Order: sequence, then C-alpha cells, then structure tokens
Amino acid sequence: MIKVVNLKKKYGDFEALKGISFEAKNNSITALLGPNGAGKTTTLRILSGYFYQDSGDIEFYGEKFLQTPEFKRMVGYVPENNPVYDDLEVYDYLFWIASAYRLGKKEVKKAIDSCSIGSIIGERIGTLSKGYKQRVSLAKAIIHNPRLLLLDEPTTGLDPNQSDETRRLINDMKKDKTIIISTHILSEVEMLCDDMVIINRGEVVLSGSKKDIIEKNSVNEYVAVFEGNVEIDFSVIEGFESVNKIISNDETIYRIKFYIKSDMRKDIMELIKTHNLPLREFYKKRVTLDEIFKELTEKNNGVEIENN
Amino acid sequence: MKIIDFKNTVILINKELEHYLNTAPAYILISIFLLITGYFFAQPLFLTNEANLNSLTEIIPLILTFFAPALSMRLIAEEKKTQTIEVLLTLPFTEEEIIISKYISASIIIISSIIFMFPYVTTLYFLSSPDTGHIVGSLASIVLCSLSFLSIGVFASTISSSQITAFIIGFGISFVFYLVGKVAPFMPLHIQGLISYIGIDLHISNMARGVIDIKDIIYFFSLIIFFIYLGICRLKNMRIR
Repeated sequence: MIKVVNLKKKYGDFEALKGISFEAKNNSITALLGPNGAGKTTTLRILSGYFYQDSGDIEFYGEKFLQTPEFKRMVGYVPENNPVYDDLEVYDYLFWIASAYRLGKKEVKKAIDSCSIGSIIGERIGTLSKGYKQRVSLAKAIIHNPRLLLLDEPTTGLDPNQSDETRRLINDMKKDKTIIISTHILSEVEMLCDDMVIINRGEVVLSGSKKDIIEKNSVNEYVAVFEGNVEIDFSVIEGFESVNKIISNDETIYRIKFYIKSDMRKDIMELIKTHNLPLREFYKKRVTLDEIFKELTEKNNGVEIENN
Repeated sequence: MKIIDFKNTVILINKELEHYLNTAPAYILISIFLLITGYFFAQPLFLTNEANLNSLTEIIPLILTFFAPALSMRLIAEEKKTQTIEVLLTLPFTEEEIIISKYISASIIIISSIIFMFPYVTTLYFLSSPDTGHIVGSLASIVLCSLSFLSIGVFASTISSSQITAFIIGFGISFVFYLVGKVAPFMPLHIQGLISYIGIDLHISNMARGVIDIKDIIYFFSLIIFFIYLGICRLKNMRIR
C-alpha cells in the first residue's frame, strides 16, 4: 500500500502540488485523473524517485519512502511520452536494465513473454511502432518485479487496438502490485481502474473506489423525448425535484430530476400515458464519470476528455 | 548508503561505450582529430629537423578545445532532450555514478584517439633518437589536457538540453583556459605567476620538458575533479529544481 500525505511541490513560484493526500492499495489499479497541469505527472515523478517533494511524506508498504537507489529498486516507471533509447536494440536495452537491478537473462525473458514482444527483440527501438515502444517500456518497468508500478498516460497516442492490448497487459500485471496510472481517458478509468483520485490545480478534489464515487454522485434523472412541441407537468409526481425542457426543431426533450432515489420510471410512464403524448424515447440517465469529472474540475481548463 | 558502486559504474560505462562504438559521430570525430594532429605533427617535422613533439603540444590544446566538447556534448544534453534522463534517474543509480561513468566512457574514447597517434612517436624513433622523457611527458600532458577539457565538456552537457549549446559552453570554458596562458605575459608582474598557473600552456610545456612536477599533476586533477563535481551538482539540482 502507498500512502501519500500532504505532498507539496513548487516550481519557482508555481505551486504544482498544494498538499495532496491519497492511498493506493495493493493488488489494485488506482487512477490519477485530472486536467492538464493538475499535478498528476509531478506526483508520479516524486513517487518514482525522479523529483524530490518540497514537503510531505510517502509511506511505502509501511516504510518511509526516500528517493534513493534502494527504494527505486521497488518501483517500476513508464514516464509521460514514453522516452526510450532509440539506438539500442530491444534485447540489449532490456538486458542493460536487468543488469542495473542485478538480474539476468531469465528475468529479461519473463518480461519479454509478459509483454509479448518476443518477435521484435532484435529490432532497434527507434524503428518500432508507438504501440511496441510502449510494450518495451512496460517490459522495462516490470523486469525487476516492482511492488509499485507507475504509468504516466500509458495509452496516449495509441490506436484503439494498441490501447486495448496495453490495457490488457496492465490488468494482467495487477497481481501483488500497486499500480498507479495517470490518465485523461475516462473510459480507460471505467474499464481498468479500481480506485480513483481526481486532482485539480494541485489538490485532490475527490478520491475513493470507482464504484462508490459513481454511486454517491449519481442523480435520479430521466430523459423523455417527445415528437413536436409538447407540454407536460412532471411536478405532480411525488419526489419531483426539477425539470429542464429543451425544444428543438421537431422534438421536445424533458430532463426530469427526483430527490428520492427509487426507480420512478413507472410513475413517469403512467403520467405520459394519461396525456397520450407522442413519445419517441424514454430512459433513466446513467451518470458518467465524464459528468462527475466535469462538475468537479473547471471547464476551459485545458481539459481534454476522451470517451472512446 | 554507497555513493558510487563499482558494478553500477561498469554497467553505465558499457552502455555509453556501446553508443559511441555503434554510431558514426565518434568515428568521424576521431578521424578528423587524427587528420588535424597528423598534419600539425608532420608539416614542420622536416623544417625544424628536430625529433620532438613540440609542434603537437603547442597546437593540441587548441584542437582539444573543439574535440573534447564535441565528444562530450551529447552525454547529458541528449538525454535531457529525448527525456531519457527521466528513465536514467529513476533507475537505481546515483548522480555520481551517472556523471562519472559518462566521463570515463568519453575518456576511454579520447585516450584511444591519443593511442592512435602512436605512429607519430614511432616515426620519431625511426628517424632519430628522441628524448624519451620528453616523449613520455608530452604524451602525458596531452592525455591530462584532454581529460581536463573533457570534464569541462561533461559539465557543459549538464547545462543545456541542446547539444550545440553544450558544445559552445564547453568550447568557451576550455578556450578560456587555453587563452589565459597566452595573455599572461601581458599581465601586471604581480599577477603574472597566478595567471600563468591558471592557463594550460604552462603545465603542458613543463611536462613536455620531461619533468613530472606535482604542481602540474595537481592542476590537471583539480580541473577534472572541479568540473565533474559541478556536473554532479547540476544533475542533483535537476531533481530538486
């Protein structure tokens, strides 16, 4: 388990981290989610041992984490933009990394097999596709079987097939590890991660398990789409909170919110039937991470949200 | 906590040497170095009719102000530019191991280049009977001068992520040490001695006489240690920012 307590970091006058605290559990994948400039990469750079924090503590499986070679042996890290040594061959690169951890051919082979890069071990890294380069970096990050795996935007720039393959590899690595991923891609968080930490402007705005966050932030909202311009009063239904009506060219859309949590679909349908209105579509709205994220972070903040 | 682990240093040196030996720039630089030094050795040889390396020891510091920074400019600057510095600094190496290993690997290349100058020495022995003390002293001064300028180049490489900038800074600092000795005679008498000592000329000419004075050894090693230390500080500073 990794425990980050009140981590602060300044670059000159700019406060990149204003005191962030969170936990990341073992055998799980924790997402660090946030807009550009939120402090995700800075957090990972401190956890990887690249940067020192200005203040704050990091507890690493019960011990205080220091940015020393000894602690770095327990961390695997794939930085943002996946920097690699283009002039080295894949096998030579991984063998050199293994040597740094005092490991040998056996561990190199295991990493190669885990990341399915056996077919390219003789190739120069600079000639590989982005997807394969990412897999080489993943292999490098796990070669020494680290307890903590840090991945900064691991699927950025990859095509859908490459992204799926990378996510599958990351999911397979979950066992006996704490994995922290920094990402913009909300669908990736939904697919891959168990826990979430939402960071904005150097502060944690929300953290917890993905399931709890979605449940706690869900609203009882329904959408009814009618043909033409129609009028209907939903406030007669018990538990009614608010309604939003949008009239477009040939349809009227009602978004109805209730403050009670129970399923209101039957009551709403009965009301619609009594008015005998031309209903096109009706569904209960499922709150998405996208909406939770947008509500918690500011708009026009350089946010790039992808729903793949 | 160990600051420098011998095995880590060897691992890093192997990687750097592999890069030097598998890419063209090092070979091109060594070839140009040998061409230029060969010219300046051979051109006055039969004019002066003296079996010595004086023509070389006079010009080689100037050549090294270009050659040493050119050889070392990529060592840290390229890692910063390609962001592989983040990979390197998150592996279980200390900053001391990284800088010293890169310096040693570049030193191996530069000393190899100097070894390739052996035909100049054999030519002198073929033509005449040169003073062996002078030959040994001259070669030793060339090696120490190259290692000193190389340490300046390594430090310069930590300053910028641009190899060109690193080269210019390395050349600039090395050139100062080359030039200082030349301007010493024009300085006021009471500081002439100090200015001469700072310049590289005095130490090379001392050693070329065949006399290995501890003052000259201290001078070269002080330069090397000082600039390597600065390079290590620069790298540590990158992590603190």
